[in-house]
Amino acid sequence: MEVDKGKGEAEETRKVAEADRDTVTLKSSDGKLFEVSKEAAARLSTVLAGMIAGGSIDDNGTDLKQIGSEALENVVDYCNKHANSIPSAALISSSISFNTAPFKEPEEWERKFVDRLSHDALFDLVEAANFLGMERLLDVTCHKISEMMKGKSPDQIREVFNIKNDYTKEELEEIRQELAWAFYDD
Amino acid sequence: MEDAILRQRQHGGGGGGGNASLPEHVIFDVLSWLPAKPLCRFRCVSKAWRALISDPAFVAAQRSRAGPLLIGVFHGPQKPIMHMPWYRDTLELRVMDMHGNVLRVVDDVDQTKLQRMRLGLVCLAHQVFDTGAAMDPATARALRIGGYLDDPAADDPMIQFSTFGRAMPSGMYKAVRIYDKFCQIATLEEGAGGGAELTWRQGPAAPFLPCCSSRCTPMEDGVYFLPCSIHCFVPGRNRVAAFDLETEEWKPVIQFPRATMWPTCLVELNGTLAMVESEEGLCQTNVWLLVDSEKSIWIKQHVIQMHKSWRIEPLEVLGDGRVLLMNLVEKQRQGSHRLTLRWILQLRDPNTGAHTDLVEMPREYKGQMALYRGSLLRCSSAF
Repeated sequence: MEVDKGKGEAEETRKVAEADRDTVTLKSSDGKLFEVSKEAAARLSTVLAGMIAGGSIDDNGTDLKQIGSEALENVVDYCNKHANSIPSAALISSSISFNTAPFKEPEEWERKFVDRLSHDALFDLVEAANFLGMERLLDVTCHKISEMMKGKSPDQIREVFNIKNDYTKEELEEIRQELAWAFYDD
Repeated sequence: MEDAILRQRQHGGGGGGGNASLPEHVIFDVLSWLPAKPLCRFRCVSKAWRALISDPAFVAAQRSRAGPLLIGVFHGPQKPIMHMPWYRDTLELRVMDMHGNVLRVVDDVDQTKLQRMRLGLVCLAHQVFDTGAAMDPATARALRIGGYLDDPAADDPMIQFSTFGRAMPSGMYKAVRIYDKFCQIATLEEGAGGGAELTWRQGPAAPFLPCCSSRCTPMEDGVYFLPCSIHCFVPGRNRVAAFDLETEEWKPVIQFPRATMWPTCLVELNGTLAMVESEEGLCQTNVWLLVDSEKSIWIKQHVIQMHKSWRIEPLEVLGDGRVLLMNLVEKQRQGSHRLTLRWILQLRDPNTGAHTDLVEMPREYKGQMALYRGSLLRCSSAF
């Protein structure tokens, strides 16, 4: 399964012309500007597609107050890489997937893309993808988080997701006994 | 519920806006990628997570991502006999995914003949006596459905054959016991508990007596039986019997595709009854699909040439037409000239005839595999 990785890097470093009509400028919560191709933005993000169609795109940088610069950089990076990846149809036949849901498992380049992210950067990217309505990126990032969760205990999960334990000791013991098989090692 | 599911994570600087949160649908997406085991464990995380993981919509989404699951019989570890200095062999059920990952083990089961069915429950039978049991692999609870006929009017208690299936369209699980002169039917009440006594009612006699549970397959429109293999060549007996679970009556018998043939098993493929037949000294396996049960019309859908293969058991036809099957293949033992037989889970492409190996079954695999249609995420039993 060979995916062209080189093209993505080249695209990333490409200087985008200032007033190019093919791109939109996005502004992060901390005021940094990022350019992304209009076509990719509209195709991958339902929110950006709506803004482009509705004419609410600001040439001086569309404010995305909910998204930090690091997450927005990753979003833009993903859009560029996606535009340059081999269409997934070519890959499906060679891989064995039993996924019958409309979502396909992440492809090689998508796995590499999320693997290099730190824990915090990954969670920020999930939030950004959710905010921008980027279904595919949301799936890929959620898949990565789920992989990190395997083999973890409920205590560790509460810590990672910062969830308060609202069970009593007795209730927890009851679940543990009911589902004893699930508490052995994965 | 919303509050508890939200994540109140502190950003380590450079992030978004202070306390960020993951909405419920994102948590849904994350968890739906996980296999059953960690999910069952994560019920302990919070009440909101437990509610989400038990939700039918979530269960459906998780299952569609996990792909088909299999359940099979394996040799388990030896266990000490109580108060004795000896050990006994045990058998266990394993639920596994297509990559061979074991998701659930039900250890030390005493009924170990597994019927080929595609339900959330499995039907087991004893190795020697056909005393069947219905089992829910998610909870490991078993309900005995077989037994000797305890009718005092009968002078000779008959060993019977038992199975169960799901009646459609009512959706009720029903157990059937077949004796020589009549049959008995009982409805498996939901939530009745494992120790519940079933109430049996009498039904009509079967057109012929099935010989063992492995030659039976329950489908949506009834339970189908093959005659005993030594009867398959006897004129008038080479046919398939079908019991309609909804009307509780026997359907007209279905003739075999050919007068003389040796079917090895019946199996449901994509909702259609399929008969698997070995031909020409085991060199070829034919899979016949029943297209018209009233006129007994079958079509030979798959012809599988068997090179170094001893037995083929189809399990499922995937959405893209590929056939999931178990193949008993001969292999050269390492460092020896002796041959050994191993079961391999394979995918067959019907267009090219190519087989792709998925998983080689471990040595302890006992040779019975069925599709598992249930969900391991449930913690309450189906009966």
